[in-house]
Amino acid sequence: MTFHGPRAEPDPHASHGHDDQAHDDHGHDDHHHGGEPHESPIVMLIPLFVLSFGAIFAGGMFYDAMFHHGEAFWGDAIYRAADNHVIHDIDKMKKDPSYAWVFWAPLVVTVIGFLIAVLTYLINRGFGARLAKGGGPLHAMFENKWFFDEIYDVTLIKGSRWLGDTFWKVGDKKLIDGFGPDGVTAAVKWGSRRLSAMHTGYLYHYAFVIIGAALIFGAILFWRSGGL
Amino acid sequence: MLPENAIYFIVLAPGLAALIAGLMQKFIGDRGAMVVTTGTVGLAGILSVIQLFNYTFGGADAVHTVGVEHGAAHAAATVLPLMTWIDVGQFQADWAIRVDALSIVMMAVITSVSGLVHLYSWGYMADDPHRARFFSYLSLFTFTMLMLVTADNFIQLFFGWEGVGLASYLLIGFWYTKDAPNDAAIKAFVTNRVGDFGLALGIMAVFLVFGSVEFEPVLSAIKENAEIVPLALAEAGAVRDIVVPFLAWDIPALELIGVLLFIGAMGKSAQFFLHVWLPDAMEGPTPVSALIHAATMVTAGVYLVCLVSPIYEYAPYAAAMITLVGAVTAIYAATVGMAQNDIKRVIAYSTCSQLGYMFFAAGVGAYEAAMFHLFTHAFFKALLFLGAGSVIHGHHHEQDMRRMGGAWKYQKFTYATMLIGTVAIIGLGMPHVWGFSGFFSKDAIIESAFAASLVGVDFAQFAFWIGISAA
Amino acid sequence: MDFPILSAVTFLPLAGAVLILLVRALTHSQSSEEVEDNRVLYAGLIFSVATFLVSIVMLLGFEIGGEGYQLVEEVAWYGDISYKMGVDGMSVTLILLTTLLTPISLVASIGSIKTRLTEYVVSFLVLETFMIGVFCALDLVVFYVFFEAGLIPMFIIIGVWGGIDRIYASFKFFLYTLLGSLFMLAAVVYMYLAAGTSDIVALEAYRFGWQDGSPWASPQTWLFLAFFASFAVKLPMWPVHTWLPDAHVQAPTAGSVILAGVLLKMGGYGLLRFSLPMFPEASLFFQPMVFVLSVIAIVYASLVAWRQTDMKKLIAYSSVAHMGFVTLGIFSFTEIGVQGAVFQMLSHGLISGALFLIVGVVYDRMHTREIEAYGGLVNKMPIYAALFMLFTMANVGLPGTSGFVGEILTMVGAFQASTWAAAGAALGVIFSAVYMLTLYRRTVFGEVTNPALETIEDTNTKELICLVPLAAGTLLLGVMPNLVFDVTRESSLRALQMLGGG
Repeated sequence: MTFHGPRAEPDPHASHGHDDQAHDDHGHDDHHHGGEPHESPIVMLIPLFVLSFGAIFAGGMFYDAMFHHGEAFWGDAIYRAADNHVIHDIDKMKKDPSYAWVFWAPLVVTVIGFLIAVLTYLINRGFGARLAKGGGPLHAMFENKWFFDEIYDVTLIKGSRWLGDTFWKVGDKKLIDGFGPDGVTAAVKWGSRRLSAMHTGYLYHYAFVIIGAALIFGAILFWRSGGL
Repeated sequence: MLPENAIYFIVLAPGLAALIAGLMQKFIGDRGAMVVTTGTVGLAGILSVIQLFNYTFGGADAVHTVGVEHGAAHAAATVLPLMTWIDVGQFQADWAIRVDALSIVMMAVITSVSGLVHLYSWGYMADDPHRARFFSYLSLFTFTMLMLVTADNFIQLFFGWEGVGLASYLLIGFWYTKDAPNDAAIKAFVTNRVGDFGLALGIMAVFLVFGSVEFEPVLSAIKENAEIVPLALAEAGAVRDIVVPFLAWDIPALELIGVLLFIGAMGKSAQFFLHVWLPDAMEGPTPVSALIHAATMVTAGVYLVCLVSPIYEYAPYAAAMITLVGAVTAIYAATVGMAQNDIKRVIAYSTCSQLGYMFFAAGVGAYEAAMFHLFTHAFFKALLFLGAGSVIHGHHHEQDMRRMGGAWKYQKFTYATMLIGTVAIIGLGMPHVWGFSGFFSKDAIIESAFAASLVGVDFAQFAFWIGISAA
Repeated sequence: MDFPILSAVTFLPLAGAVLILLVRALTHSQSSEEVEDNRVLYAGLIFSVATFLVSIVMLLGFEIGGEGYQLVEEVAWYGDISYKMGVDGMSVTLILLTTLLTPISLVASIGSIKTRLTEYVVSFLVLETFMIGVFCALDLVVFYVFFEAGLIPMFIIIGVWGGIDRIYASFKFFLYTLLGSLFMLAAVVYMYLAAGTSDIVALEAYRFGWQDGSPWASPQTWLFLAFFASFAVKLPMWPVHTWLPDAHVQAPTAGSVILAGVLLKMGGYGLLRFSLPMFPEASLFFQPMVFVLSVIAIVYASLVAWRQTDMKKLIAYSSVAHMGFVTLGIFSFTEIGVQGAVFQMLSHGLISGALFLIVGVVYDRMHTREIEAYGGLVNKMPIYAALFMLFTMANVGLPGTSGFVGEILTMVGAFQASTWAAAGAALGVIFSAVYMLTLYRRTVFGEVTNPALETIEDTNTKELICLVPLAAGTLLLGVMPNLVFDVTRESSLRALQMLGGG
């Protein structure tokens, strides 16, 4: 809500998010205008105008249809169980003066909030800044979004990164390969120097296995057909 | 309803335009791509707004809004099938366009805001060397979002759901040479994936219980409390009483489905725990923030909850969870938003908090209020973003509010519209009389929360007070 | 007997290989390496394209929805063993995948393979014959011969045209497959002796011994495990997957395409063709074990993939994860799961093949697969970036691409059998987004930081010829997967019927 505030003195060392990129690049900043702020071209203002229209009138125009008589409007698309009387109750409340505060409360709070905002940003310019400076832990927590990013980073992201590394370096390399192929190689090497020739002659060994298998199979066939 | 051809045009033409702009940019150039996409989406916008007005105020099959008895004139959904998609055993999902009140409202919101954002981008992105790509992505987004809201089964909904995620990823990371947008794009996609984890499991649970992934049979079975035999369970039972095993627990089927689907909604709509991607998503170009991260995509979660309202009507715990998460998000985002300096992030947190409102309205059973607020919110939040974009544009891409100011002096029109947007969002208006859009819908929500607390809906009272204080 | 179309598809590449060797023997004398040029590649290409066309003819002759095996050919061979070929829906789709990927990988080799071209082309053509043979064989012995023989050309491709550590990689490959083959051979011999036939159709009807309550005393259990050992290595499943990343990294691009695209599918095919129909009780008994292994494979491999610095290794681990969905779907024993698994095999063949080609494109230009060496490619190679994005999203399982259909169906199937398994698999889907997007971001997005990339050129016509059909296939199957489901429905149902029929 502070965009219409007067030109506040920027803190030259303000560090927040991405201010070092936000204003000097974005791919299309070779404007030929000077440093003065300027009004946007008409193609940008038309949508603003149309949307303003929507922002002002859409609520009033469709309130009856979508909310007040919502049941007919939404039809089968929205379903309410037989014991769900929420919308009904609002109608009843409207007629009951003892609930009038419910309808006025949001407005009152809104106006108070608006006044505070005006006070903070318009009338007493330094107030917001002082609040931020002296805000203490609560303000720090708010400014840092309750530290969600940091917590997720430490737990989820670092955690799964660690898991990935562990699976890879310990699981795959040490355990599976260590006891599997590399272990077998080492054992073979240790047991017989001659067999380590497998390293180079593997292809022929494999072919040998297949041919050997075929021979065994043939022998069995032969034995069976002879035996029968 | 409009003629079928018009409906086909609204939903499918933006996809075609995206293809043309994306694949043929060599031949038609930037300007050609801009004309094709903006023209198509703009026309679709006009058509769907006409459709909304027709549906609401006129025509033979319109809903007559004045003097209708409750429970009368239930408008049934019309489904225009396009093509078989997946057909394996009982698992049947078609490409189709479902037209009912929900999708009519969503179509109007999506295409009208999208059309305006397309037009706005002519100015905002005027100096960008990759305009054809930008407009192609925008139209792609519009197409997938329309597929989402017109789905007649959970699988097409999931297509739209992931499709808008893709478009969002591409657009957040549109300035791909820089680190911050790239990181934000991945963060958005992955966080949404966490939500989709829930959504996908929810769809699987729907299929397990109902043996179908189409909305119509599933939802009407719940409404009628039909006797069904869930797959993999031998016994038949009334839908509302079925208990299914999930992981180590036995959970009432509707509660399970409700919670899982809501996890998906939390991801897409940036609710507490899965909200972290939305502020970072502001690294994308401002028109994108207005269209995707304010008006349309982030409201998909609310849409989903309202769409499957029968489930939540009979899943009190899942509904309570929605209320609670929505209320916590509303207050959380309000506190954090106050302490931010980047103008777009402030608005992003405001979106987060408004989405929280919509959720707690849906959670207490006032789906109408949620959808109504979604509808009005789209306009004033898009307005705020585009206004902010105009200020940023005017200030040569300065986003720190502390370095802005003087907008009134240089940008009278922008200033005026921003003021309208702000007044609308804080919901100014006189009870029982008239006010800005936000007034009607927001108060509708707060009243709903109060009314619900009277009848003892869990957390409704909590939500009511949060709603008031965060207003 | 009708024209033996299956034999024609199977042996056409082999005939081409023989012809090429003959021509070379006649025209060149020794040490002709310098004289060799791409003509031999084109010759090989002609044969593989012809094979593809013949396989289309085969598809036209195949009656969709017909029962049992079709286009059967049988020639008595030796004793009870006969040369018997026949196809059902599942094998038809996999044959088409093979005949599509082989010419693509030959095209991809143009320009990037420079030594011993004749041997290279001959290896690929021989390999193609063996692969098609595996999917056509209707005799256990014929299957076994093709199944094992197919490894020899793959060894040669990795060992001769591979990278620096090719010896280690092929040695590992050898050890793992040897292990599996020995068990399987023993099982084949036993089955032949027990049933007195090696005809697959007859074996399907034969009941191998099973005693309820004492699985470890039942022959079926051991037969199942013996076959499973071989198929699990081939798929590969955790924990016998470690040969795959090494083999992929060392193999030339085209070798990786075939390895990931077709060879891995033999494992899944074997499970559906043999394990389920022939050892039904044992399959049911081992379902939990397979589920656990599949979920571990999906989550474990996805996390490991994230930490890789070598592009090919990353995609290799992603293959392990995606094949986990195949086993998950098959062992869900539901129509949805099995159909999803067959579809996932096909889809993974297209996507992973394409991803290896994508890596090959930049490898040919830069001769490194290190992710760190790249960055900002989109600035220089926009078309490449777009295609890479498409396949990235397909690998992530975005709806609208074929990757989604396979994943969601296998998970839906698994959910009915075990919610744990489905939840674990869904977790893996999250991680797949993490590693693929990280890879894409580090290689394609960002500023060009490596000065060597300044002059890199975008994809050329040859590469587009390879990638565009795969892209089209990925999208087409993502939007109209029923093209496949209609073909594979009967065979999937049949496998399940035999499982339940007892």
